[in-house]
Amino acid sequence: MSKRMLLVEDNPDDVELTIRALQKNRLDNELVVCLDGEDALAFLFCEGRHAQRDPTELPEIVLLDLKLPGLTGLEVLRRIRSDHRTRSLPVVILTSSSQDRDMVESYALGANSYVQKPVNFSDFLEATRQLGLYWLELNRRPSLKSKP
Amino acid sequence: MAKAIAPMNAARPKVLLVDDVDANLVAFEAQLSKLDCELIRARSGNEALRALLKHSFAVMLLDVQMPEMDGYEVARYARENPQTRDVPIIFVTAMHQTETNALKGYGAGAVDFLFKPTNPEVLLSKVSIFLELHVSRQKLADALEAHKNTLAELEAFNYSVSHDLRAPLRPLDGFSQALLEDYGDQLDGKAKDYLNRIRAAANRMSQLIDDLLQLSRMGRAEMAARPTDLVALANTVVEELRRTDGGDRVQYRCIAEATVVADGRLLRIVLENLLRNAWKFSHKKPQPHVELGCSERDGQKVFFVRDNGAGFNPAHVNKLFQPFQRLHTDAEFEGTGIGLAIVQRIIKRHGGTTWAEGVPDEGATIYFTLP
Ligand SMILES: Nc1ncnc2c1ncn2[C@@H]1O[C@H](COP(=O)(O)OP(=O)(O)OP(=O)(O)O)[C@@H](O)[C@H]1O
Ligand SMILES: [Mg+2]
Repeated sequence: MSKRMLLVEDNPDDVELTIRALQKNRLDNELVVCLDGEDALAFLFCEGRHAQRDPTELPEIVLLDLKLPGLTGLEVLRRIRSDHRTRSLPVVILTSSSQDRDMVESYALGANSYVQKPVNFSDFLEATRQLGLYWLELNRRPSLKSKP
Repeated sequence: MAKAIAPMNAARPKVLLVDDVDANLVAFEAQLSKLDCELIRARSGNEALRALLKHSFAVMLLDVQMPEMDGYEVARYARENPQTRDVPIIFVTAMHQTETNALKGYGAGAVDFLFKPTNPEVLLSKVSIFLELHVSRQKLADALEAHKNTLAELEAFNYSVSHDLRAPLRPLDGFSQALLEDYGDQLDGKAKDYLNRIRAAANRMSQLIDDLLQLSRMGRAEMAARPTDLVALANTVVEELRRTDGGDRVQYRCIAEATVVADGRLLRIVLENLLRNAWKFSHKKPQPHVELGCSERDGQKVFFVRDNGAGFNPAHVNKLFQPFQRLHTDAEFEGTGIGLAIVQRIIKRHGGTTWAEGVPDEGATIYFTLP
């Protein structure tokens, strides 16, 4: 199975630009897009409209926006880290915010990286290229299925 | 905001009268009736302590000789409780002046004495001093509270600037670039130029937002002033500038050493901005010079960074330190015009001042003091 990515992002412009950036970098992994935090958690925990999903198939990485309608990105992250099924799931915060406070809180809650979405698309391309290279190519994680 | 504070100020300050003899309480009340305050009675030490917990008092008049719990004991209990510790006490005693040593243990400032029989004028003036103190303290506390609220609002404002104003710039740049890439063959030179201008404007706006946020952070950043070698700090900046394009052509001169009391991190930002400007505006000259110097004015040390570069028209000198004000075009020398505004804000926070001198085409000098 190709390595899947989950993008949690409410802004359609940013969704479109992220898809474009991934394609430009030939990261043609399946991309699941959730427009808010509730839906993202439902996807990860196979609830609601995602009830039919195979719970052992977690995405390789979650790209999480901080400012979301309803549940905030930080709250989503907290839920991900407090559930044994998703505790070690790599989560990259992708946000507009350059505030130290957001960064500090994200790391405190167990984010794996924090990337400020650059305004310049060429910079964004480079950021996604490196993210893809690291999390989809280099990084290794135990598979849930191979657990004893 | 002002409305919310008004009722608090409008509440009259309270004075606690403690005496086991009713006649004394009545006498106090009569003597203090002229003052704009609320008088609350207590007939025993216990009653006094209960009242202290219930109200906030500007001062208490405390009889020393009382049955059961005497005035000293009341004072001791009051001082033990953080909630009542700061209420000033005026002991009322029949003791001789020579015996007042016994009262000294209560600490300075918040303790005073009156000797029986009390002189109405003395009583009135002592109590009114504590009332004034209380009112001005309250005002200060209110102002501090208002200030804290403003800071919190500013914080929220910054957050939304940082987050929400930047977000719409991404699609401006991103989709312009997408048009250029995907439909470039259908666009003529002019159309491409327009798209590039949109991109440049979006990126510039993003830079402006970053600059504005940095400026506002400088005004609030935590500061730890300690002795710092200004020259050594400048040297680290100069090393970096030498490595920039054409930067090693600049002749740099500086005083031997200068220890100032300042926050090292903020002072480095000051030097970085001043020296970077000096480098920027002079490095196109055939023989660029930059100097970090120190002179004296009214017995105070004045530091300066001087260059022999493009200079500026002195008529506009007062615009120099304002955010986003520039005296040169972007084509001549690039920048957004935030550097000197940051410099000024940091120096002001240290209690110093900044000013500048310039001659077109001959150079500029930026001065600053650090008390
Ligand atoms: N050493 C100097 N020589 C001549 N002009 C100067 C000098 N330093 C500052 N100025 C003038 O003052 C303006 C404001 O300076 P400031 O450092 O705030 O902004 P900037 O250098 O243009 O941009 P930024 O510092 O934000 O990159 C400059 O644009 C320039 O016109
Ligand atoms: Mg500058």
